[in-house]
Amino acid sequence: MSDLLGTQPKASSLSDRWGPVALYLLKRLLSGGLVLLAGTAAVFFTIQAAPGDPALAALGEQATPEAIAAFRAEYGLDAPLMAQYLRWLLGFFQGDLGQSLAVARGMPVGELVLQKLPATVFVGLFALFLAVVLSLVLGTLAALNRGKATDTIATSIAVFGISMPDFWMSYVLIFGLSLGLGLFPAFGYVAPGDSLLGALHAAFLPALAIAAPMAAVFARTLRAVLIETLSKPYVTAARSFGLPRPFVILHFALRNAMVPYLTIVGLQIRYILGGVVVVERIFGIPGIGSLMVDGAFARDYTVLQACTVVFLVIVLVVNIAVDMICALLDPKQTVR
Amino acid sequence: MSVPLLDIKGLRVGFGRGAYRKEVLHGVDLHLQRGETLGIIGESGSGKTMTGMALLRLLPDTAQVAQEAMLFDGTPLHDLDETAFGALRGVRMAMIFQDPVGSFNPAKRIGWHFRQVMKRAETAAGGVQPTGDYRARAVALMQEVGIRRAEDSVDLYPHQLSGGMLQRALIALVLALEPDLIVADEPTTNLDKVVEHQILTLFKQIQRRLNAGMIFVTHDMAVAASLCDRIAVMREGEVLEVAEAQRLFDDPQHDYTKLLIATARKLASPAAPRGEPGRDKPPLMQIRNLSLVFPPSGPRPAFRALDDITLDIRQGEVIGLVGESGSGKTTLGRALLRLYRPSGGTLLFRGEDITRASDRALRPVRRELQMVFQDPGGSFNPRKLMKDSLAEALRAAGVTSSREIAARTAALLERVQLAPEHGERYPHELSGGQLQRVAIARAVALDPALIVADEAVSKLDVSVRAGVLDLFRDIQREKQLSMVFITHDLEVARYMCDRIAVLYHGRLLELGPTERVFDSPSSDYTRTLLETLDYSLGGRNFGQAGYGGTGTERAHAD
Repeated sequence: MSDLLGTQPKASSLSDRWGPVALYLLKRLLSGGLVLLAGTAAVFFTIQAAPGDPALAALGEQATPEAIAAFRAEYGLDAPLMAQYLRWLLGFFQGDLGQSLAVARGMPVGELVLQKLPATVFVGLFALFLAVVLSLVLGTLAALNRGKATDTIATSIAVFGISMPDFWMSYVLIFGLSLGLGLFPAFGYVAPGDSLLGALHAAFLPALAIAAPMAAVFARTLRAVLIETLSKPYVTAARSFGLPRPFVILHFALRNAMVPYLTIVGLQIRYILGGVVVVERIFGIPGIGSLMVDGAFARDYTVLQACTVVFLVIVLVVNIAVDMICALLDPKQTVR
Repeated sequence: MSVPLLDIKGLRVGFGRGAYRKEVLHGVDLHLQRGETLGIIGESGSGKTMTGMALLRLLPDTAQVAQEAMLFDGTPLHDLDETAFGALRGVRMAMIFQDPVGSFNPAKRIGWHFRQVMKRAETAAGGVQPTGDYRARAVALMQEVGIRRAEDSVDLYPHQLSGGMLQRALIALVLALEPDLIVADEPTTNLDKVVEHQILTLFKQIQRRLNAGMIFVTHDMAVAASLCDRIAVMREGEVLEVAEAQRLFDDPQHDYTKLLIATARKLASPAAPRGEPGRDKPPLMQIRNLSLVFPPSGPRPAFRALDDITLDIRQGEVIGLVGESGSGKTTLGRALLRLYRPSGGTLLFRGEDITRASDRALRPVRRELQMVFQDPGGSFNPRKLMKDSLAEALRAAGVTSSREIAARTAALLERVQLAPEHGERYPHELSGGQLQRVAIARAVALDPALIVADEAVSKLDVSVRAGVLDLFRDIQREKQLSMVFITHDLEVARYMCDRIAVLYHGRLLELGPTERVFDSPSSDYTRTLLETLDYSLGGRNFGQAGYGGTGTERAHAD
């Protein structure tokens, strides 16, 4: 840019910045739709390729060939695969996810999913919240005390969290905090609508089991990014102007660490969902994860398909949301 | 004499412990009066930045700082705890940094920085009711330092302003504090020459306005000479000598100071004109109406980097491409080597059209077109010995016998005045100057017809710069090859080039023999560029009253 004759950009208000963000959102929604379409096909054919037969699972090993044929005809399983997929897709666009084959035979899957979704969303959000809070504390402590005992301890906790699988972590937490100390229930779920405090209390252990490995990854990311932003010239410059240390850490170092940190958080969301499947089962939470496991055992293709698509939508929505937040946080992306 | 504003004795800074301890400052003594400007001059690693950082306690926690005495306005700084020191830093002491772009929080607007700094200074001063209207004060200060449309600029984000404007904004922030001591650490090094000139003039103004003491850290003799009352020369963590600016230039005591001054003077003298080589021969390269448009990427619109450039590169001449960053000089250099595909116009090499030649067709041509880059470290494979990098180039040139490769490698190293053992080292074991010599050897190994040197000396320390330039010139004469010398440094251009091409916003503004361009430039922009030579030892104004703080006639031997 020239200082001689160069033109200078105009100041922008926040409302100006929504313009490019909205355009970006539109693009992302379009590409997200395409990903969703491809995802439904991938899920559909993968499930079909797996061994097992829903008719046998629903009717039992001793079912007569006539009964099996009747079952197949009733649910359209006798049509060619491609036709089955297109029919499913047509229904999907009309909001109809089909009928359950085995888990709750004959019940519309959409209804089933809506019934189970709140528990999963609640536990998942709780886990995300715990992971973010834990990682912000651990990561910041480690970065600020780089190379000292605090760093070693925080980093060790993080390595431990990454190495421990969530199902094992669940049992350790149950053993220690529930059976041992009696602080939290080992099993069961309370709907937040009934009692928010009760719900948080009941969901704490499952949420923590899911959050632990993620918190570890987030914390390590934050530590690395924060160490980098702390060494930036603007931090030295801020200190030279005498700005207080907490202010510099918060508004200069952490503020600029947020975009890379949130990007990693967005990418890791899928692990919450992976954790949900296992952990819901262990803690007996009536969520999508439990439904998915039931569906898989019963070869209930429609239920399995619906659960996977719900997870796909969640991952896409969260990733788009994170990218939007990053775009708003980083003026370079939206202001020119 | 009154109490000095600053009195440092025996300042030592070290890193690490025990056997791993490495001392980087070995007992530095400096003092500074109110209203005086002390230049600290030295090359990278001399400890000049460390001194300023130690003074403001900005070194990392791992640094160990010790001193016999460090008095600020009579107060011993080393006795102050963090709170007491906090009442000085950002209130009575302020610093200006080398990288203006990096000095601002990229997530916050310019005005936010002013508000925070002013608010904090008021709190630290104590008792004063916050005045509130930070924005108006920020705008006034920004106008004072010459920021265009300050009313709008105050609401911009840092990335929306140029480096020069940001450095002005940083100076305005310091002005807001009205400090007694300013430490400026290479504040113009990252800026274009034209902008550097403006910023240095601004420094003169604020010196007069604040009557503050200033420590001006720089590697550039000419900048120090134009701005400072006294100059301290540092090398390897020690102050070699301190003297009045004029005395230092008239009568340098230390050999190293003599070397620095000799280099600066040498670069300030134009090359002996040797006519216009290659004028009567067919040109090596003909550039006709060349344009290059970079396609839009993401939200960035298409960018016309080169616009209708017509130019001949003659056989055996050194042609300089000068201009500020963004003028298209590097793009043109790369387009000549066909590293970019031109969008329009033609490019003829020895009469043959290579504008759109395929990579395969270009292969024999590429051998004749070589490039030397700005960053010598980055242009070598870090895992290869220097002699292997040279051997690789020779093999590419078609030399196959290993005995011949060994002999030629040794000869090349000798030609660039390096010893055979330099060939046995890895890139990180050589200094910048030595690496650049190997880079020249590698370019010459292929026996090219044209070498494009892109800012090839701008990252080198001043004391080795002249040597590398001389090597370029000797090899150019010896091999009678053509050279395109891309530089933002007019002194280097004048020292090296037979002809000069001035680029501005992708257009060729001016083209002519070096003497003619310097003596009677035809465009206003070139005249503006030439004014920057005021701050050089060969400049028109150097040595005139009013530039130095003392106002006396300055050393200017020739």
